[in-house]
Amino acid sequence: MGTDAVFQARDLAKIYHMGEVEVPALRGVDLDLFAGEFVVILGPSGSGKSTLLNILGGLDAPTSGSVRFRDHALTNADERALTQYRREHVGFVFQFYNLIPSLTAIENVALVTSLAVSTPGMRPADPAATLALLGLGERLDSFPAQLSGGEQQRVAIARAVAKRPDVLLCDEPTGALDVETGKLVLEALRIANHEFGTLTVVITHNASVAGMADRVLRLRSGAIASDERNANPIAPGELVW
Amino acid sequence: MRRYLDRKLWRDLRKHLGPLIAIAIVVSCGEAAFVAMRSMARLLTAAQADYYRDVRFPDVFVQVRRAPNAVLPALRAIPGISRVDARATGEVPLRVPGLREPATARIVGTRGPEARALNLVVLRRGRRPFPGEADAAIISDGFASANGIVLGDTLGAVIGDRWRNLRVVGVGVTAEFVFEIGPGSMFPDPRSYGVIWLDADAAADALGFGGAWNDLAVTLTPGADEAAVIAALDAELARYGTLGAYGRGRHPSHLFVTEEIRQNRTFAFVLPLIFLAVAAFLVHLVLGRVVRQQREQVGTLKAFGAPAHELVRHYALFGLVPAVVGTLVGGGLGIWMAQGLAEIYAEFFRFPRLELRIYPTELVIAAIIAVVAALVGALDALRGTLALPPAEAMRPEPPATFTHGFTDRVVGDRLGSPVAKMIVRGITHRPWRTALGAFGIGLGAAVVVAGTFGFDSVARMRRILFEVGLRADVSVVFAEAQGVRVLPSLAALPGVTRVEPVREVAVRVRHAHRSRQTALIGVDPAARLRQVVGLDARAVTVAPAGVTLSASLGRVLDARVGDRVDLEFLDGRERRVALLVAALVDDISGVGAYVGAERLPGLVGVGEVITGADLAVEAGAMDSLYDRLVHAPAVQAVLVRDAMRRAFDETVRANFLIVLITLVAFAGALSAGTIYNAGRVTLSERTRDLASLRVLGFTQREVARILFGELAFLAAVGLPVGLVVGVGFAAATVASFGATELFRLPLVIGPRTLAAGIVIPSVAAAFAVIPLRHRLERLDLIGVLKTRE
Repeated sequence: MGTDAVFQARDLAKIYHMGEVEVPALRGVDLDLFAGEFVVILGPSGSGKSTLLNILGGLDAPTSGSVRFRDHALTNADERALTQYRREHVGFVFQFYNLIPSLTAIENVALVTSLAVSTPGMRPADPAATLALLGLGERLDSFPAQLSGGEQQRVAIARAVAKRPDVLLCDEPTGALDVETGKLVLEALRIANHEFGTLTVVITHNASVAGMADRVLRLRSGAIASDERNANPIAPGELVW
Repeated sequence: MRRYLDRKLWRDLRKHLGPLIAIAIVVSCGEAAFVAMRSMARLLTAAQADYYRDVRFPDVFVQVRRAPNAVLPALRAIPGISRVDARATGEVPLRVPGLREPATARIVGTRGPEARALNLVVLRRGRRPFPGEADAAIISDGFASANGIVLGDTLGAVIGDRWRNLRVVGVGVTAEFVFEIGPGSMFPDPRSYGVIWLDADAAADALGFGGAWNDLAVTLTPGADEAAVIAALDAELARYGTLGAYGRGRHPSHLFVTEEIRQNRTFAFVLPLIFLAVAAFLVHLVLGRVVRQQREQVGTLKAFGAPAHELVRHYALFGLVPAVVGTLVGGGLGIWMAQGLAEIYAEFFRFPRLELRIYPTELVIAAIIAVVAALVGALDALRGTLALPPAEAMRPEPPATFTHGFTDRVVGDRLGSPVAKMIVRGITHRPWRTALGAFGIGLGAAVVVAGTFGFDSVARMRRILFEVGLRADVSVVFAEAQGVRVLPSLAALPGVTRVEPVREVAVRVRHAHRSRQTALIGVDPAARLRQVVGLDARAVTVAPAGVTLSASLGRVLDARVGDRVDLEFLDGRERRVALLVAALVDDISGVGAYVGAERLPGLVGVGEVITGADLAVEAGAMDSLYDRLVHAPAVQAVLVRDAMRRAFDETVRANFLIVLITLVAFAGALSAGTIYNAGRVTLSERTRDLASLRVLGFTQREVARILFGELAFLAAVGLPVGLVVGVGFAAATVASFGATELFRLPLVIGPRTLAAGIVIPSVAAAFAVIPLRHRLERLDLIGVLKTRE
């Protein structure tokens, strides 16, 4: 393993306490993710993929084990440090978009870039240009309620990548979309990955998405079942599911 | 079904405990105010009626210069009169141990209860003078406590040319002198003015009224025509120099007590209505949110066949529970406050007894109003959701639709920062709710302003009275009008550096069929020690010709500039003069009539009439001056400016503090209750947005700024509006105060009052949002990512 790993997870375990029952979500995961990779994590529901993503994104803390982002330890970081981490390094894309309904497409993007502008060392992209890059040049001033699901998700991707994060974390980004729209969204993710060179991690239960990945991880019952490199990723448009 | 709905209700109530408590607090403030004010008014009205019965308080009163006892049978024969009691009274300067300046005593003849006379004195301590016991005195309770006079003390005064030492044998009260106001004074000062009751015959002898009287008390037969009796008395007594008979409606003490009670009753509607309107709005706000959140549940219940009235009952109970809790707490608090306040007032009025009672009707009315308010709020919140077909209701509520509307083109689009846009669009999205929320917060400011502007008004009044109006260190009131020769003898008194005459004569002013008794005052424009002052604290110029009237006297008489009014001098000569109204002025006394000083003797027609004098005195000479004045037979009263100002300040402090504390608490509850609930609902609606922002890297502080930005906007809009409303309340208060005619209250609202109107609700609001801040810190970041709203 090289030292240029963006993430280094070691013996990561997470146990949820549901009343008196202990539910293990992750059991001893070791993982290194590298800059510029497009990683797809596959697994059925309950396999622990969301938990892993949340820990990588600084939204949840492991029960044991350690995670490093570059030279920062994410484990044992306090709330303030994790907020700072998310703000400077992470872009999120969610299944249900989570756009702010009272802000237009461009304002939703600008909301995040405006944070980045005030942070030293960050050079965010132009919101309008980012939206145009993802095919939304005509919808800059539309409110979320005026956009289709696919359009909303592409706005969410633009919002996530416009601040040029080091890592883009996507939780079931196509889960709420039909096939054709889903492909458009995956295409947007690919563009973002290529244009900005961002480490992109997509979790999904849709195995077809694996075809476009540089690397495919399979999770089962909280552990990594396989870790494969894809020598010839295909374009999202050619995916079949 | 009802059983399970009730279980759900119970759990829903527990889940929304904070907002419900806030609503209950607002309701209980309104209920407490309503029950307290209304019950107190009834307690005091009952105590007043008891008092009047106990002391045989008369129906009609007359003061004359001097009338023989021989006229009494003719008066008794007037139809409608049941009983007349004549007595001698007079005012004299009094030496009180421990008081540097002379006080003024009103000497009143009295008889024991066996005589069944009117205006019985109720003894607080000691005994009554025995018949013929000339030096034994009962003194009024207020005067005794203000000066620390105890039984056995001796008070000295010149009564009827002779210095007398009076031994205090009793301390008493009577309904006649609840409001004791001395000659030349404008407000009560228990330290410098009191009543001394002497045996009736002893008083008549001492005051030089053997076989005569100057004060008459009259009771009427049931159903008698008071106006007719008054007219008959005035006709019979005109040649004895009557000041005019008057009924209880113009008796200063009766008027004072009755007005105080009436004002509380008015207040008892305005304040609770504000609170209950806010409570209705809060119920609407909170329940509206609950119903929207439970939209799918409502749809499911309807799909399973739950009848609409069960659902209405279910959600109406949600609104009723805090109303009922608030009513119970507020009702109990109100009864407690009513009794406490009634005791304070009864002590203030010196009522001899106060029977504490609970008035269940007031509690019932209060409860009905609160329940109606809660139901209005609840049912309006339910309307939309209950009307939806079950299938539609079961689907999640569609996301809030924002468009580039009018306000957005004007404001939203122009703002640079997306966060500012979020705040503005959140506010303009539900304009009615924003307006009502702002208004609810603003009412806190209104209550503060309406409750505390009195400080400013009274400060202005203090300046008018003691800095601009009266500059004399000492003023003297004569028992009888004097000629000009009195002035040099006053100037010769120790320490006196300047003497200015005061000319005030009793007149009745008539215009058409309206008339009013007042003082005609001769104003010397060159006077330096006293001037007529307007409500704006500037000196008022008296017109050189005709008569200048106070604006409110003009209103009472319906007289305008240019009208002719008749002035009748009330000294027994029945002389009348007609004058044109030359000007109406807004002065503080309210019912004055003014002419130039040099014209007064000509109008009165008996030569110079000097009824008093203003003195400028060197500070070191006061004591010897007082000593000379208290021994001067011509002097009826000595008024000392410093003592009056001190009494004024004490009265103000005592009266305002209780009001202030109560109103500040109420204002705080209004603003805090509104902002907390508005904040809870906004937070609930924005949870998803705010949690998403936190995930995207917004700090807690940045997210808090969005939520509190909206609330701050509500306050920023509502508080100034509230100030305006408060100024309106204040103006209404001043207007209702003017009805007493004792004096006018200037409407002054200073920067401190306005600042308090902003600061007090803001501080209350700042405390109210602390729990919201805690909620914000516990946002479930992961939860919101996994769910649609």
